[in-house]
Amino acid sequence: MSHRGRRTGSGARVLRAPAPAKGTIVKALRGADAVAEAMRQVNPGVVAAYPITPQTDVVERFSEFVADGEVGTEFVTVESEHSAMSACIGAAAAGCRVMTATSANGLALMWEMLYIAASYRAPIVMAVANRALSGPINIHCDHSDSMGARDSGWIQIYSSTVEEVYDNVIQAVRIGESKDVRLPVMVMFDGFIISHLLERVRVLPDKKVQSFIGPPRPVYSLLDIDHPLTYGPLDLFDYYFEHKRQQVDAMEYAEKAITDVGKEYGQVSGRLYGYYEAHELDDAEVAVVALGSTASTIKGLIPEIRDERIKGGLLKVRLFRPFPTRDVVRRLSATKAVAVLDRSASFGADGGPLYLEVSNALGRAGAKTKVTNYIYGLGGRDISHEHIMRVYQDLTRMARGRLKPGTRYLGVRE
Amino acid sequence: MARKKETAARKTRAQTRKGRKTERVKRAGGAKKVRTSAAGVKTSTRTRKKGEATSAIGAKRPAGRKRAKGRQAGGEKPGWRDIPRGGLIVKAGNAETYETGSWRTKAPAIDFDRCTNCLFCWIWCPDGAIQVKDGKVVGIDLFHCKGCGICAHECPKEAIAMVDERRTTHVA
Ligand code: SF4
Ligand code: SF4
Repeated sequence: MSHRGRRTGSGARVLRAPAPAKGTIVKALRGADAVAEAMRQVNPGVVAAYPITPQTDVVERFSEFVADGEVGTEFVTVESEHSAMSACIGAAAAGCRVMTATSANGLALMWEMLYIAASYRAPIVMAVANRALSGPINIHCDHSDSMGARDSGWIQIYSSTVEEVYDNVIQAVRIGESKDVRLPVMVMFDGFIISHLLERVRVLPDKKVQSFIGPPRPVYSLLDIDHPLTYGPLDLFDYYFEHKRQQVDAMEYAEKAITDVGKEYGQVSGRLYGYYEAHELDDAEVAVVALGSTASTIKGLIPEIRDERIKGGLLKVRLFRPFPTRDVVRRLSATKAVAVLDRSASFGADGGPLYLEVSNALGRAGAKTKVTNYIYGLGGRDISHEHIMRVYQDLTRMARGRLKPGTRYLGVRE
Repeated sequence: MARKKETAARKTRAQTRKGRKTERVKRAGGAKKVRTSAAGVKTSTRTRKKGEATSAIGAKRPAGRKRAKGRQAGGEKPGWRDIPRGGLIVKAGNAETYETGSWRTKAPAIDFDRCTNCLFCWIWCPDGAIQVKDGKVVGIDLFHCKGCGICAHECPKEAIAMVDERRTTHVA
C-alpha cells in the first residue's frame, strides 16, 4: 500500500499553522485524562458531576487534582446528573466558571436542566463521552445521547482524536463565554474509542492556557448584591418567544466566536481549528461526511481509497451546533455523490441527524450532488476498513447512476 | 367551622352592598373627603384622585399607577433585542409594577368592626396587599391582591370574607 503525500486543502492549512507555544509537553493520555488535564489547566470555580461509564475516568482524575490541591475548584459531588446540571446552573448564575462531564443516560437525566442552562445563557462547559442510550443497556459508543440533545440550545463540538478533545475543552470555555454568545458548550468524544484510547497529546503550558482563557467574565452575578437580579422567572406567551429568538441569535454569534477562538487558539498552540476539516476534497468526485473518531479512521484510509482510483474526499464536521451549512455547501456541491455517516438513528425520520442536515444544506442550495445515508456503529459496533471501502465504492456507483441514494446500515446482521 | 365562615361571608357581602350604597350617597353629596369601607367604617381621609380605582371595600389601586407593561397590547412591548437575555430580571423591585390583581375572582372584604389589628392577615398575605398604617389595617391593595383568600383563612376574628369580585370592583 503506497501512501501518497497530503494533498492541498486542509493539509495545507495544517502546514501553515504557526509554531506551537514554547513549553508544550507531549504526553501519552487517554481521552478521559485529556479532558481532566484541560479542566485542571482551566481551573474552573465549580465542577459538579456524577460518575457514569465511560465518563467516570474524567471525574475520577479531576477529583484527584482537587484532592491534591492542584486546582482551586469547588467539586460538588451530587446524587444524580439532574442535580449535577442544576448545581452547575446555580454556580454559573452566581458568576462562576463551571465545568462538568457526563455520558448517555447521565445526559438523558440532565435533559430538563440542559434546556434551562441554555435558556439562562449559562456558559457551562460539559465534556460528553458519547455512549449509546439504553435500552437495552449498553455502555459503548454511539451518538444517540448527544444527538438527542441537539435542540437543547447547547453548542456541540465533536472531537475525533484525544488531542482534539483536549483542544476543544479549552476552546469551549472561550466560545461559551464570548460576548453575545453566552451559551453552554458540549464537547463530544467517542466513549471508549477516544475516552480510553491512549494517544499522543501536545499539552500546552498551564500559563498559556490561563492567558488564553483569561479570567471569568460573568455578565450578571447572583452574588453581586449591589445589583440584585432574578434568574428564572415565569415567562409566558408574552415574552418566552422573544427569549427563544434571542437564543437563535446567540447561535449566529457563536459561528463567529468559534472561528475567532479557533484562529486564536491556533496562534497559541500551533493547531488551527475551524468548523470542519477537509481531506482531499479539492478534486473529489465523491465524499464522505462523518463526525468523531470515525472521521479520523476515514482520514487514515483516504490514501488507500485514492490508490483504488476513487476520487474520494472526506469532510469531517467538527461543529454540529451551530451547523456549518454554508461550509457544507461550499465544499460538497461540486461533488457528484456524498455519503453521510450517522452513528445514531432517528427513528421514523428520513435518515440520521447528520444526514438530514447535510442533505437539507445541499438541497436548499440547489446542488446536484446525490446524498446518501449510512447508519453505523450503534452500541459500539465496530466500523471496519471494509465498511468504509464499501461506502466509497457505493459512492462511485451512485455517481454513475448505478445505485440509488437511500438509508443503508453498515455492519448490522441481516 | 366552614358554616360559621360562610355565615360571616354572607353577612359581609350584605355589608358590602350597604357600604357601596353609603359611598354612592356620599359621592352624590359632593363631599369626597371620607371614604368608607365595606362595613361603612372610615378607612382613609385621602381625597380620591381622578381616575383612581376604588372599591367598596376600602381598597384602591395606588395613585397614579398605570397598568403594568405586561398587560399592554402586543405592539407596545419591547422586541427580542431590547429585553435582558435569558428572561433575567435585572432591575430589582419591579414586581410592584406588575398587576397581579387581574387574576382575582374573589376579593377580600374586611369587617373593621371585628378586626383587632392583630396583623395576622398582613403577615400571611403572599403579596403584601394588606395595607397597614400606624399598626392598623387600613385596606387592601387591589392592584396586587390576587384573591387567594389566605388572609380570610388566617384571620382569627373571621373579620375577612371573600366576596364575589363582580360585586366589589368597578363601582364607579
Ligand atoms: S387578621 Fe383579621 S383581625 Fe387580624 S388584622 Fe387582619 S383582619 Fe384584623
Ligand atoms: S386575598 Fe390573598 S392576596 Fe389578597 S389580601 Fe388576602 S392574602 Fe393578600
